[in-house]
Amino acid sequence: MTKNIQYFLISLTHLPDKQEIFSFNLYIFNPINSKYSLFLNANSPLTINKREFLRLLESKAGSVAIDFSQKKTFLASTNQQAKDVPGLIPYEKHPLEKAREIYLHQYAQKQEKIEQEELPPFIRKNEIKRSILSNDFSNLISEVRDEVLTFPLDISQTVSLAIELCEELLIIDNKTNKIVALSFLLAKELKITDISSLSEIICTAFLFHLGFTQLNRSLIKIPYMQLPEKSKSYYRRHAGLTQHLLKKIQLPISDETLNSILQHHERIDGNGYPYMKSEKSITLPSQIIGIVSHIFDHAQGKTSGQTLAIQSVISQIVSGTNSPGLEKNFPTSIIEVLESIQKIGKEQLDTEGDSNGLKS
Amino acid sequence: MLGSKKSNKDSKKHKEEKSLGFHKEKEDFSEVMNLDVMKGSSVVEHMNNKLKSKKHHGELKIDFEKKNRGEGETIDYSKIKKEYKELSQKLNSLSSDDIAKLKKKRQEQLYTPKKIYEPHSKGVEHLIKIYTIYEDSTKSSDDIITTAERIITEKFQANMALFTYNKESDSFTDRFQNFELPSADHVETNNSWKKIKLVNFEYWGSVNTPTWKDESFVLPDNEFIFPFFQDSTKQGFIVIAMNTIINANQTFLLEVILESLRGIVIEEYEEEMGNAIKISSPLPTDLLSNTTINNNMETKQDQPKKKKAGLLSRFFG
Repeated sequence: MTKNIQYFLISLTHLPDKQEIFSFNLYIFNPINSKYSLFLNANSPLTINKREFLRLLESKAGSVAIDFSQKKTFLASTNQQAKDVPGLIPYEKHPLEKAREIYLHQYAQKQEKIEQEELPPFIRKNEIKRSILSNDFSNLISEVRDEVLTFPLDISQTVSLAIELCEELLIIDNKTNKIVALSFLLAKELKITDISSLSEIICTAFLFHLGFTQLNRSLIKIPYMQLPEKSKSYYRRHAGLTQHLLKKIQLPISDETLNSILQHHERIDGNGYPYMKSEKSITLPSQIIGIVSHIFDHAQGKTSGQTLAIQSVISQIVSGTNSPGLEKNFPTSIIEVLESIQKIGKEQLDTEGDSNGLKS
Repeated sequence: MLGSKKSNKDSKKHKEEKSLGFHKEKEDFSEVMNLDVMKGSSVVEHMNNKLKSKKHHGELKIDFEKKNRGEGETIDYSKIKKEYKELSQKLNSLSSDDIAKLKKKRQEQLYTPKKIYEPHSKGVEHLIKIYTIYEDSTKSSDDIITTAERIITEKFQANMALFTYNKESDSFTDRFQNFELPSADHVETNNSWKKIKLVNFEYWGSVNTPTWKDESFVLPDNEFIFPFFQDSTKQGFIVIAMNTIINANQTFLLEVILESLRGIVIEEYEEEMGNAIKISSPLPTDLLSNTTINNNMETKQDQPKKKKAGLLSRFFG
């Protein structure tokens, strides 16, 4: 079963009676179950019997269909125009779709410039490494924004929200946006490519700490390790408060996103919070957000009070170094990606820069 | 060897596609638009793969592998014949009513524009902007309050006053207010605010649940009182004075923005009561600096405040 949108319907009259061989596949739309199936391969004869069946089908609300990607072949070989085929008559596009077309066009142009070597290619791991070394994430943020704005708008509310948040907010290199961008790109390194999952990661990364606005602000000004025990217990409420706040404002996001928000402090050894979940019972998006936010928090001194370079924090996590406030209980798959990024040497980045040899 | 084998396979596929008439050396824009829908994955992924394949094989290769187009497949015609015989029987047994219903359904399914999910952020982007300031240890509480105030002014053309608890006077004092008069006379402005406060303060302080003066939302000078409670203790409240008619649906966004100030109110209340969380060592200056990529956000923030007229007359009837 494939999606309706892959096909367009034609009438049997669009297949000239005199012609028996067609250079495109014929599909049928079954009106009883609304499904499509292959009826006749290209270049196979459409015999009288088969044509009779199609006639019956048409009279009973069924139809002949063509694969959308063979549109041009169909029009050329049957000498038709798109405006004469009901299934090809365009509908008025939604303004958001029009805006997306512009973003897609811009993205395509950018890719074309990369192909023509007028722009350097975006090599994900190298760019991540560069950002980590320089603490300048503007390139990553910009790349993620460009990509998310091309996401289709007909998938879910969560995807559409991810698009809107990226359009509105991914314009400045601040900590929230660093977390959004790095989480998204790490997810892609972990082979998460479907749009729904990537959008969940985007939304989680934007929203997961909003609960802190409902708590004494001092809780995030003081390093976590220096908080009194009672304050630490208040601090740990932030994930639940975020969920509560988002439900209160009735934000239309998926349950998976809400779960990832709630679980971003769960750790694989079961020592996280709020539910002390372990191993595979913790969602991968929440683990990605968990490690990325911890890297920035620890670098910023928000856990122990001591600031560190982001690169050093990653090295310590990868090597399993014991350091006050440093968490290491993250999935091996994420650690391995970080390790591969960590191994990229400065020389490699320099070489890449030299070999780009961009046309002026 | 493996490379050449793959290359031959690609070439064969290329010929097949070309013979079927749908091979494209380069996709045009409308085709790119269709690809993401057809394959259920990001169009960007497609472009990136395309780029990679060009890099690796020195030619542009369109990935048709994931999609079953039917070409080259062996079709079991006896099976198909059986299936279509069954389908013919089913179709023949349909009544004219059934057919009419199916035609209507088909029309709806196929010729209705695809469903677009319009984003309903409910103002959460403002919460994110405000949280970003919360999180930045170089920013003060005043920065958070003025950011919220700026959003309220921009979205609602409203004035705002925040009252927090003062232990010494055992009452609420105006921690922040932006009630202004057209006059540039600073003294007069303060005096005006004092008069407004004098007349309304008792009522404002007595409100213990979020309350609109005009719940029918027909008055342009509507007023909203938003109290902050923590464990049944009132720790502060906000007064919002509208200057235009507000739609009931917009109140939601206003409440979200006001809600974001809760962390400040709690912090200042605890400090006032001598319960501030003790800082054993100050946090180092932020490692994570803010670098503007473009100045969209700054442009919005740097807009001068619009002065509001008619406030004094409203509060004094």
